[in-house]
Amino acid sequence: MADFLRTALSGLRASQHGLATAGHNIANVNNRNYSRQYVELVARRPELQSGRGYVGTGVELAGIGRAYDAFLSAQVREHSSGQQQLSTLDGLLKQLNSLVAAPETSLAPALQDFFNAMRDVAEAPHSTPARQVALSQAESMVSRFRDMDAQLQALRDNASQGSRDTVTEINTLAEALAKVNSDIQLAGGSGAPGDLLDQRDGLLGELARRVNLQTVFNADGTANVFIGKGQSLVLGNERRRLEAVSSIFDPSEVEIRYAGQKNGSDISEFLSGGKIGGYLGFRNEVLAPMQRDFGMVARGIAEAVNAQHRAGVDLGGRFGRDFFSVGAPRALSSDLNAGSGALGVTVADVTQLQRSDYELSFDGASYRLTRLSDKQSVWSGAALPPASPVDGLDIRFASGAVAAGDRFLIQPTHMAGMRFDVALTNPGEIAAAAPILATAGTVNKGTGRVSAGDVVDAANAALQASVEIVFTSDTQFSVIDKASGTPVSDPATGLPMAGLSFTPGQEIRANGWSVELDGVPKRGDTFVVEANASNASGDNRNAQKLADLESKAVLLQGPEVDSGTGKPRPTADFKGFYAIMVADSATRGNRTSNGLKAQEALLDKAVKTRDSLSGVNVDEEAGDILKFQQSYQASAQLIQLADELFKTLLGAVAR
Amino acid sequence: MRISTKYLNEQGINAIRAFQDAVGATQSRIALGRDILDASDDPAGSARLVEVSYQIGATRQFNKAITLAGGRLALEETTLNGAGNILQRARELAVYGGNDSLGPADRQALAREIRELRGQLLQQANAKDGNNEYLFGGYKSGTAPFSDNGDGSVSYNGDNGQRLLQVGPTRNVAVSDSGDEVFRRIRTGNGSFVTAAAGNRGGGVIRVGSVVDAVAYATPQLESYTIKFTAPDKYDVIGSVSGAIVSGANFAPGQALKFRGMEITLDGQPHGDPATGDTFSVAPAPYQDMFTTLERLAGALESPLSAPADSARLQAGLGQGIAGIDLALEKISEMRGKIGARMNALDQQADVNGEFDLRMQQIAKDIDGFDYAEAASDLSSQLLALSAAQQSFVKIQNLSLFNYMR
Repeated sequence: MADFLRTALSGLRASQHGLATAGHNIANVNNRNYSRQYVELVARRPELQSGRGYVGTGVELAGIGRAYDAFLSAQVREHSSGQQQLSTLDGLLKQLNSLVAAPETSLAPALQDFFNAMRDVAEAPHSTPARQVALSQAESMVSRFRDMDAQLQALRDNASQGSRDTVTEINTLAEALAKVNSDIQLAGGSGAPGDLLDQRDGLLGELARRVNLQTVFNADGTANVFIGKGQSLVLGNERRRLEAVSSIFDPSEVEIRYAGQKNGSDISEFLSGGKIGGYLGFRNEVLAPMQRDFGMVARGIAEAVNAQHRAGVDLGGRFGRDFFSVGAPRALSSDLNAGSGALGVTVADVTQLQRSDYELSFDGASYRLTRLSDKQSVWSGAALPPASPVDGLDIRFASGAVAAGDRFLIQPTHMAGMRFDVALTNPGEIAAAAPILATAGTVNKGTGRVSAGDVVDAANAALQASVEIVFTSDTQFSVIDKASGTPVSDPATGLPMAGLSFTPGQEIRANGWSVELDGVPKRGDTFVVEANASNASGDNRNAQKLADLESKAVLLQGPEVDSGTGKPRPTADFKGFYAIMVADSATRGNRTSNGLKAQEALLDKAVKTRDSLSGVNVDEEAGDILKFQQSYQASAQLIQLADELFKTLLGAVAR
Repeated sequence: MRISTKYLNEQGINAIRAFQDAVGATQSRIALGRDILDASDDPAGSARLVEVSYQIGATRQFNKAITLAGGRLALEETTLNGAGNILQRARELAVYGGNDSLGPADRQALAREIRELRGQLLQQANAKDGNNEYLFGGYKSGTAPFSDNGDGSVSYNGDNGQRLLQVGPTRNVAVSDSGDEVFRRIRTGNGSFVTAAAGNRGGGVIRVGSVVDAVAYATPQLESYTIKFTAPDKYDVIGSVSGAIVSGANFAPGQALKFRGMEITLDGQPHGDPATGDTFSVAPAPYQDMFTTLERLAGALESPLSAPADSARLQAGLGQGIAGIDLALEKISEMRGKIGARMNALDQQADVNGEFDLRMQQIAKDIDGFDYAEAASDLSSQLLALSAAQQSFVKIQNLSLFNYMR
């Protein structure tokens, strides 16, 4: 009888546990890290009755189970790491793409406005308003470059700040995890409460959202965490701190290392996944190339326009000076360098520039120049500068001495966009005219016509020397320097240009100019090539050429080699190069957002799978509550029955 | 499979959020009238769009240049037309001046009118365009190209520059001609050679002549010749390089002298025969500007007629003047022809540019193929999906076993 009551009581207790657990589950229905718990019941040891058989004695709680699968949780962590990386990257890329590709902010209209203004100057070279407009458009173009660079810099700062913040968060989470690990150790053995393990998994999940990690679970339920190339972050209740510090090359760059490590022990290149992977990837793979390419366009415009501008003369008949100024290549010495050497790098040939940064290292005997885009060694030698420019760069020491092991980072165009500026101030200084003019003699007998003349080599010292093309017979001519009276030497052969035979439409080159001679000249006819008049305000030849640079391929050498210079031919004009930049960044954005969609689907599936095991279903809990309520009521009924039976017995005795 | 309540919740919310995103994107597309909102939606298209929009802008600039060039050329054409009318009037006066019935005063009046015309021509040559630029100054378009020296000569202050404007990706059109080319580079005489009498006593009048055999004319070279009368009916021809090429040929008044591909008429009557010792020169024609031609014509009309040779000189002067004006008119019509050809080229280029622009617009539209009707229908289907997601969410949320546990 007493056993009967005990059995009922055990049922009552078991039902209470069941109800408590269901209540706990319902309470945690929206707890992301919560794993559903359930009561594990076991029948109590039965009693042997008079050697005939066993009678059950009720139920007891074997334990509270935790619906959990380590593999499913690991999958969620892995996918959330990827999802966070791509989502960070996607957000930043969207900002970038709206900057470079949107019609309102893109560089292309600014380029076009400048070159159109140049065309307006070509249409009205004497007009000061047209020249003023060209200068203003140049100003607005360079300020668009600088704005753009500032915006990129802001994005860069944003990404740097993001990675600093993420490092702080990782440290906080690692500390919390170490604490939870020690709590789990204290709880002892395998008996650590499920809620503590959920806390552990929650922290792991949060860590995984910030950086890709590997996790090893110990027998006592504690977790060890490794990041990067297997460096430990948390071992049991020990943890290591990360810190975000300035890079050895560039103080404005962030590098990540373990606290207390020496300079240069950067682990950021090994960190992938999570938010930090997104920030670092954006900075290194998207933003830095973008800024470099912007600089390249600026550098290309400056070099091409300046060269053409120097080949013309302004309203005062003076040779044009530089139209634009542009930031010099940046050469950074490592903080770790033992030597004091500082590099001076200049651009020797803008058409040969590559879309890359470079690292120069010195091993004590020889230098090695590595192109970072493809990790190719592009030059090595015992002394600087290289015999001929490498990838269009001239590299030499500006000051100081070098020591073995020194390293330098060279960014040819990184600063070009930021320091892009208009050097001209006076609209009259725009060199719209050509420095030379060819004229047919006024007493010529034949019908020979001469073109106004083109400048081929503005640097030729004799460019503006007065030269007479004299026909010594109806079919032969000489090119005579008027000052000395002697023939000019042929730039191609070096021979004196005397008694040359003439074909109508022939191009004659000398002294850095070329003219085209057509028609039928007669013996004694002359054509004079001389300095253009200083008041030739209607001459638009050079303005026309400046405007034509708009569609001239200046950047990005291709496979084809120019037979004249022996160098690879450039393939892209400015807008073409910009279109390539837009395509690059847009493709990256496209890939990232597609990757993000895939990763989100994977994460969703992993969460669904995990939650189908570990998540709480309120309806199910409602069922459990009904179940336990009923068993509670039944057990209670049994106790009442026991009471009644006891009363019955007492009544029988009392009579 | 168990579905956790949290997952069910999130699923419903996610669906609603996704549809809201889509509705928002469609709304932005409609607001901006653009299909590509973000370059990453269509990387190749965005890059292509950069180029295509650039081409459209460049074509616009070229069309601007065409308008500008057309205006300038039309102005030059009008100016040349005016110059042609002036020369035409001068020619009429010159022809009239040859009339024997005119007295000295009449010829003086004619000379005055011709000088007047010369002044008008000078004004045309110094014409300016709407930008206050001289039309015929070459590159020195800020300086008046022609100045009258007061002694009957005119100086040219411009140069030979010719301004080219780019009106298409590969087409340049000249929008100016130098005054040197238009007004000064005109051969005298008949355009090839010039004849003159040199202070002769006789009344022989040498006409301007013509080149009848262009090959023989310049063979073996261009040179000057002297026609010398050894008797009133005999002459020699001596070349400056070749020496004597004709000697003792017979002459009859009105007969054409023929040598080296040239044919030159020498009129004896009615002004009298050449005298013995008279010489006439024939030389390759130099350039003479239109103003000098008119000045000389006026001079010829002004000179008094006292000796028989004077009359011959007047006739010769008028003949040369008329020939000079004819050559000038020829030059003017040649220049107008060139301008016409350039204006044709401009029209053609305008057509080409128009077509190109149209094609580029089409390409831009194809890449960024925005269609309001399509966007509107997208929007309504997305709104439908959104409201379905919201309703199903609420319905599912209302389904709970607890609702029945009362």
